[in-house]
Amino acid sequence: MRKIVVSEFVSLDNVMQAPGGAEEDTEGGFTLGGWTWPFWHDDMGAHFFEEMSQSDALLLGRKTWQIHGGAFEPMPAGDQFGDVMNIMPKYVVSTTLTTVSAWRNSTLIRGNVIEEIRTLKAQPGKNIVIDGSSVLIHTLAQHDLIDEYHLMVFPLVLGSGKRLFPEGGKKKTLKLIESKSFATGVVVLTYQSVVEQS
Amino acid sequence: MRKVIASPFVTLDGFIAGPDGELDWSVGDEAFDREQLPALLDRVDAILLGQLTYQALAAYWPFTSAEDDRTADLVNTIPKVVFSRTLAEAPWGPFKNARLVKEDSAAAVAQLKQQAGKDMVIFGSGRLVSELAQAGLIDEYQLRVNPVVLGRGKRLFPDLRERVKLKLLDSRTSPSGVVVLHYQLDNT
Repeated sequence: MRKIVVSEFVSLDNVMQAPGGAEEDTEGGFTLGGWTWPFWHDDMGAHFFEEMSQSDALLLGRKTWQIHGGAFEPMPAGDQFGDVMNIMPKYVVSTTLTTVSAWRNSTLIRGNVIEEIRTLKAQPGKNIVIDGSSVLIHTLAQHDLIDEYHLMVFPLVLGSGKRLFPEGGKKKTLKLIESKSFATGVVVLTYQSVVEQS
Repeated sequence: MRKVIASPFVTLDGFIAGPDGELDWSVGDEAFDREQLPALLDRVDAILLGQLTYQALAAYWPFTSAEDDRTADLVNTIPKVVFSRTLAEAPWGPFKNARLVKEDSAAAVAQLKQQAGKDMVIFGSGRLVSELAQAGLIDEYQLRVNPVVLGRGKRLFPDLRERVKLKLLDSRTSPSGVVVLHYQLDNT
């Protein structure tokens, strides 16, 4: 069974909105976008490639898919990040999109989302990675479909913004698998979901 | 100048307590209690607490057997300051009462920091931490991140209006899955 892995940039207060740019996602009047840049370190790039080497699909919400597609699709071949993201098969969950031609190697999931994702999980293959996609992550968490959280925790408290774990969500205990830190103060925490005994 | 260190338990989703102040989710961290907590208490001569955390700690620490428990001894004897507009007094079991501060916490702590003395620690106390963080008065955070997603409760930073930039000093993992993240305020 393939694992669904949430790979996310978060602040110390669990905010995941617009890590990469001021204009990336300003919903709710969020003005702090681009907060990851001062902490970038080449080891984080190495971490990204390692993550991607263990995965063979991306699962994304509509917004994150559009943001990533807009950034990566136009990149010329040879860009190491662009190549990985463009070649990787992508599944985008959306009830409003009618075509996914804007980003190569994308497949649309329009309905029966949970069933479709269970089917993907049951197929042979490597990990399925989700980044961004707060709405989709909240839905998957509700259905206990997330196997691991790979969190890059930035040394910042943002105070507001979309959160990785939803307010009012289920209480869950996780298992810490690994923690490591980068020279810029970013800590990578790897957690596994624990199957609740009922 | 004396430093203020905030040292809360915190869940992965940023809560320091359940909706009614519950701490039943905390998985414990024996290594921290054995090594880091006594070291932390050794560097302070004041414990700063909000009302709810004060009530929880005052119902526990003074009544634990302190026969050979150096930590309980330190917690019970280090002078405490409680920030509350409603309490009339702040007893600590048979030990010396905590001092009550009813006025603006930021002004009071800014003044305390000017006085001579060792550093000061805050346990729990989300609202107090938030008020002091907003005023730039917290010098270090020692966050004890529990491997728990709580979903609801009292946040560590409930009404922060400006972002706070930190510098990672150290991180340590305990066998129970708690990660202790030690940061200092980054004023650059």
